[in-house]
Amino acid sequence: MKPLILSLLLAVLPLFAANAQPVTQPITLVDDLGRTVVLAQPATRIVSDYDVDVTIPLIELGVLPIASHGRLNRDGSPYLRSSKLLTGVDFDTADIAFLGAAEIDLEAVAALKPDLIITEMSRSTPVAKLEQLAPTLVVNSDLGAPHVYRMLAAATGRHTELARLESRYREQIALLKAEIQPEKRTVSVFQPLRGKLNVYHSYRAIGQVLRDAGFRFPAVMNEIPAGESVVISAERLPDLDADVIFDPYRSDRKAGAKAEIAAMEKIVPGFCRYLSACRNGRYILIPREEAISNSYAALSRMVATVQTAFAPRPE
Amino acid sequence: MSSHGFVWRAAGFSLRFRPQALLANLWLLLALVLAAVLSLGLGSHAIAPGTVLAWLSLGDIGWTPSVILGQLRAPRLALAMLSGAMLALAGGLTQHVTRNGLADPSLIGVKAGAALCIVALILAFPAAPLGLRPVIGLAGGLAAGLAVGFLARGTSPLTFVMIGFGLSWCLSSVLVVLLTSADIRSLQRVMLWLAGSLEGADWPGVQLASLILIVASAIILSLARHAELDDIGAEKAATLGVRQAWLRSLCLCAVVLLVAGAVSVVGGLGFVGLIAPHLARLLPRQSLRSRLVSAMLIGALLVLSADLAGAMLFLPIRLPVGIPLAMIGAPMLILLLWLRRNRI
Amino acid sequence: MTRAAAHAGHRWRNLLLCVFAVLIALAVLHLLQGPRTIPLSSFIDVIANRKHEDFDRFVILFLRLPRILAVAIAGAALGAAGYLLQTAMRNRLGEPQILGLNAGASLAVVLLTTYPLFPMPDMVMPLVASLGAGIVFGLVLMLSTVGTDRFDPARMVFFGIALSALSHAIVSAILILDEDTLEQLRFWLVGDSAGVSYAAIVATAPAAALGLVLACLLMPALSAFTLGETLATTLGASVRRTRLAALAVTALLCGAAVSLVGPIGFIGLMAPALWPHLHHRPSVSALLLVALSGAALLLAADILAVGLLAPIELPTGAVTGLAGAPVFIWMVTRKRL
Repeated sequence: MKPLILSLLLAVLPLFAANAQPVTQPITLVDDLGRTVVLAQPATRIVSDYDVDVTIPLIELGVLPIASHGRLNRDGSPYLRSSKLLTGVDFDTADIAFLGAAEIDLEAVAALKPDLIITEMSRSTPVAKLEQLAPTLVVNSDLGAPHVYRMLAAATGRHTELARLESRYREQIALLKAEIQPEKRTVSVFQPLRGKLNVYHSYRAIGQVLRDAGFRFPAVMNEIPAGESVVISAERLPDLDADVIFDPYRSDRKAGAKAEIAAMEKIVPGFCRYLSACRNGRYILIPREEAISNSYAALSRMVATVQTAFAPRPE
Repeated sequence: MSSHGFVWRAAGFSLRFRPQALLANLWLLLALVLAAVLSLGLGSHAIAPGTVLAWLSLGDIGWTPSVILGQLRAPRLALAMLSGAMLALAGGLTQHVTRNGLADPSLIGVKAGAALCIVALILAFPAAPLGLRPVIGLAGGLAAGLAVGFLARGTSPLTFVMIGFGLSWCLSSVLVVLLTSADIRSLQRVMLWLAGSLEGADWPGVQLASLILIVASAIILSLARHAELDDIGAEKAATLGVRQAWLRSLCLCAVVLLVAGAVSVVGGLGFVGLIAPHLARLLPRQSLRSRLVSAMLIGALLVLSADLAGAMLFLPIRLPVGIPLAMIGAPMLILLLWLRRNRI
Repeated sequence: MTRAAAHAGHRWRNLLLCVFAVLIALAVLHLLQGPRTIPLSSFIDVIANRKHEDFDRFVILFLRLPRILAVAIAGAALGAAGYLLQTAMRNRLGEPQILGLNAGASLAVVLLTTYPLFPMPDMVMPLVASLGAGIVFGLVLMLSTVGTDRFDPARMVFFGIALSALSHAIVSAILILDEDTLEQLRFWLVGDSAGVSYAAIVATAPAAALGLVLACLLMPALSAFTLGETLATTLGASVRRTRLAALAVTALLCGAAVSLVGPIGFIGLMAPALWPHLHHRPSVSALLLVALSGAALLLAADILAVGLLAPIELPTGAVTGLAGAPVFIWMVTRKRL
């Protein structure tokens, strides 16, 4: 008899416990490698394996990762690429541990006991190794910021923040569409690369904005598979002409935009003559540190840049 | 030659012991074990020696230390030692057979073949599981090795190595063609892998590497006596019943297996195959077999210490093992070449 | 002049003219063909000096023409350098790529791009490249000749390859840690002729021309080598001095080529290999023939690099590697060391 009562008690006990503490639904995610990741509750102690494409989105969603991949300055101090510019957060302004640059310090990750590790497809860190330390989510940033943010919001439960960011961006794109009729305008994005031209199907944040707004592109750009880039001969420069041309320059260098123009001049002296956009003053140099980030902060700045570039000008 | 040591004979077998050589290898083994235990305790996350000893004696030490030791450090250092030993053994044998102290087996096409296939895999299917790499790498390495063997059939070992160089260049050019269209991030990832990295070290990799090492070293060390006879001179060896062609192709297979295996698990690690055998020759005079064993131990020690240096020198930055190895290996190689310039 | 000598001179002239014609044909093909389709009328406009603002004119005059010139100069320099090296070392496998010169040049350029000790104008790069090539090659020579009096071809190749591998390991170590330099140099590192300016040609052409003239002056002394070194010495040719001079000229030629188009390999191996009996009697005509064939070969490789996978442009060095490595294998198997 006694065992029966005991087992009954044991069976009933969880019901009470459940009543006392509301059960959080476990979160089931399918990541970009097709893996299923199950989290008991929204992740809070997160380790990021990629600064531009994971850490910045997390910060924007209102979750500070406990540790992140980063880069090294010449003086040896670590930084999160583009982050201070877009979010104000960096290793020196927030409590984020630096994990390393090329290879990240897996031992430090283990010691931190994160409840989620987020990595990106192009990172060399083996997913199998990360999985042994904590549940690991793999995102593919080539699928664009909105996709990455949806994935990260689902993992962290930051749906309100996501909704705000998304509606802000929707509004911005709507404004862009209303003001400048993108479907009637052509744009192109490229950068000089040692005697050749580097052209992307869509260059990260600027590419996303231009595609989302519905601009038209030169045939050369549309022939490139989505998410990829090609290096083409300088002879095809006129094929890249458009109403407005964007050239992401190295904004982290002292010489900055001037060096970019000099590089173009070196490939095609007097290149401006051969591009109608340039002759009309619409060859726009944009800072690469902003354009390269797949984040709503960067998208927002890119919308502003595009808007200014197309804004009508009084005679 | 047999003035030192004693010979043990039993039932048609004879083993010659040279106490000096044996002693040298014992010292090396001791150093390797010490270095291994030391590097178990060292890393970005400090673990006390007591904890390491408790873990070694299978005690309960808590989640963090046991994961760091069991999943990160132990497979990493095991793979470092195994790959070092594999490359050193392949190098020592190639140099002996070709009688050329500069014949680095990783330059004779096998590495390029394995690397080309794995890089193609990395670029075409970035999401492919890590476990697929050794399979693809071994296939590519073996194919390249067979191609060299076919092209060099009936020629001298020296020509064989030269043809290997040629094929290496050819395959590297194909690699360049592949990489020209690659995105800069993939390019860096590929270069990281090509330089050699132990980041992905795990137990299945360790199992594969040990299997290859055991098989190949069994083949090589059991043939070493014949190979030593081979050293006396082809005519004399032939009279002693050594079937040279057969011997050589077996050695070749073992070398290809070793190099392709090492490349598949740790990437394109260089220099070990050149440096370790030369360092082994600085030890007291040994038979070929025990010299190969010394080379293996030295190779293991080299890669292990390079990885330790990469982990500890620039904390919190961890360098992939290929970089410190190149930094240690480059000056060492030049020094060795200079010291042994008359005997290469 | 005897009739036989006159006959031989005649043959040389015909051969040289033939190769030159091929070279011109390739150059014209390269000028006509390219990623941009240019109508023939535009070429006529250029010749007639009309339509100055036309992009076609720009492509012809400022993209294709300098590229063709640079490739021809570099090819000639590399071919001559290979031949010079091979006669001086009596080693058919003597070639900048094989003996470590290219790897040395890359290492020097990568080092100085990543760690600029001083603000570097573009004109210094060729010097830096030549210096790097010279240092590594010097090391190869020193190590491979120490302890012996003669140049063992295999030994040199082995040392060249070992030191090349060493330089490459250091280069990739630097590039892994420095994404910017990697992006900047990724094409140059394998040899690429896109985007060569007239300024670069003007800066390096004199060096290449000087190298060629000096090489011609050295040929008579080198031809004495073929008689055997002892005999050459008794004939009064200072073997050591001639050899050193030949090596210095080789370094000069290689430096000029590398600074124009990057470390391109195997031209110096392929160009002499086209003419099987050239090594029996080195002469000025032989040198010129090799230089012309080198130029023609590199032009052909460049045409392939542009057209093979269009619109993607391959680095020229990848094409010469694909074509040159089999030639190396063939030479080794034929035991033509």
